[in-house]
Amino acid sequence: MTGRMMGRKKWAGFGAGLLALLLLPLLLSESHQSTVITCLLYIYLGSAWNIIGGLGKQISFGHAAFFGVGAYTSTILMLEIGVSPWIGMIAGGGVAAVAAILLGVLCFRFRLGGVYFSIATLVFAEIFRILAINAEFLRKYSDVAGGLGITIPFRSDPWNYQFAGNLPYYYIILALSAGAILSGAAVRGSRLGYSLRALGDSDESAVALGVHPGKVKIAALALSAFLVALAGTFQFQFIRYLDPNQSFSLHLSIIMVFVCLIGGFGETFGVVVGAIFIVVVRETITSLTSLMGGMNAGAVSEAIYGACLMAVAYFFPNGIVSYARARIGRAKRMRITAAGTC
Amino acid sequence: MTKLSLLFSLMTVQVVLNGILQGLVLALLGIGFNIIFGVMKFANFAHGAICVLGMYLVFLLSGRFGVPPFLAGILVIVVLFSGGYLFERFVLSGWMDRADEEMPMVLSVGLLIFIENVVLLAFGADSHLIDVPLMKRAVVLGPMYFRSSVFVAAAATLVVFIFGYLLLMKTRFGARIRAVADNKTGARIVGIRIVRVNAMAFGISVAFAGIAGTCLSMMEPFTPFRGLGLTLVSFVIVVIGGMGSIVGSLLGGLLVGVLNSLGQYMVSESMSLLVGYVFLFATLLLRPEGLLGKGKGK
Repeated sequence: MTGRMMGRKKWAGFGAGLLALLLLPLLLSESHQSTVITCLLYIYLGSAWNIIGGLGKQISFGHAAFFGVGAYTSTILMLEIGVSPWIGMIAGGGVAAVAAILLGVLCFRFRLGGVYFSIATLVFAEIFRILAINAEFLRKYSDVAGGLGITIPFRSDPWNYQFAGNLPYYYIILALSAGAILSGAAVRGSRLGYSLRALGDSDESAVALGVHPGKVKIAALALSAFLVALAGTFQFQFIRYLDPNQSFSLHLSIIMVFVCLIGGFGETFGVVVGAIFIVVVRETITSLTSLMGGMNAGAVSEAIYGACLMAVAYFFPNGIVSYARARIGRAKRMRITAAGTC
Repeated sequence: MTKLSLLFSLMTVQVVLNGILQGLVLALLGIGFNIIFGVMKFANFAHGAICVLGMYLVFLLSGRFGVPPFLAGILVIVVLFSGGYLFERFVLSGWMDRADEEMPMVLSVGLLIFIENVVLLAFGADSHLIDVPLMKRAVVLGPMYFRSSVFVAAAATLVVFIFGYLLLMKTRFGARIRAVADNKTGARIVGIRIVRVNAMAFGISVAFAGIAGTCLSMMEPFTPFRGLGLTLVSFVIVVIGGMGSIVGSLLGGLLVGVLNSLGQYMVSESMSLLVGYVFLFATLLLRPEGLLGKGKGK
């Protein structure tokens, strides 16, 4: 099978999957719809993270910073001056992209990258979390006196990004994640994508070929941050509650790493596998712990995510995809030799 | 000088002193991170979680089984050192050579999350503070008050720091560790057994995190959620002081400790954390190799 045929098969699968997902909600209850929405959100986030983390091999543990910046920008714009979250969503993406460029300049200017970048992203998210916790002017929007969260008032209106029921949100996030997968594929095949992958393999040889490492990585980070920020707005219009400790959490950043790690760093369609895996694990654990009663379901599933991260990194030290490719390649070679001996 | 301004300056002295005491402990944490990063090029994101694990082991031993806190501390150090040594020897070594560059980081973040949530499940989310019964009384220096266990913890840190410095800088074993950190291939050529050095370095690093945890558990209340923050603090210290520089880590630790303490006193507890983070980015901007670092990191 040639690479191109592989590609075609994958795109046929993508089309079929998309069609199935368009019809799927007709069969689902509201609560199941919200589970699928979470899964699609993770696909979206994973695709966005993959641009800098997967293609560029610059592992960010702080993409929640951009998610939170998107959510806060659109929410503040809506509550303070009544801007529609649809416009706020784009504005949030812009703010996140600017933040990403600042971060990128700091980390990639001296070609530090690597570990320094991973550390800096984590710290970056913490800085935003602390700022959001200490933002006094947001206290008046909390429904608990002195609470840190913001409750977004519900006014069902498409222009207001608010709808009764889950169905409209389902189609929004479906469109977003399909768009993210498409743009992920487009980036992968573009000049930017090739430069990124070259840099991910070896900084020195890419530079020798005339790739400007700083510019390429900063551009990829900004694009990735822009996309993640859009999801921030979506999520908080959907659940209508904005909490600084959740929106800037390590938990959220790790979900993005996890989705891509399971699906293979830099793989356009791998994120789908990763997102399904993570949602299935969580749903299973939630139902199991509720059966046992009294267990802290959140902590149990977090501990299992942690263990899974370790296990995947440990048993697939070159990533799941390269492992699978090697296996498929070996099976094929064996088939060829077997055919030859007949 | 009026009475008020005298009082104010005394308060400042107390705040700075507290910061120095805390900075010593944080420096120890940073040195642990630095050793492992220098020798194995392994950025251990779980470092803070291991420190928290140390706190809870001391809490378990002294709070539940009534072991005196200092004996508990020594036990914890022994346990963590052997744990770290064995983990490197039988789990990490070999794997590190095969793995992609980013995988060790992913593994250690997994470990961070795992330890944090296991501790949470085992001990709950309440905050604890280890009190040393013999030393409950406050130390009074003129108008300044200190919890005496703070002094004891800082003294222990100082002893460990001097011990660690002599070990690394004055012994043949330390020379081997520094040789591997400097140039792995060269070290192998002159006959240093890298596998053993790596395992020792990992054990020492984990033990340092444990000692820092033991001391911190006597200085301020702790919860299972402190791991990430402590990992970040050790990053900040190591980046400010310079990757690979022990004295740099000490300087970084003291700087972060004092700034934190001043920030807590003048602004607020949570905003004080920002000071260190801002310093990290300022270092990346102005002097990416750190105060005492050699050359650029990659």
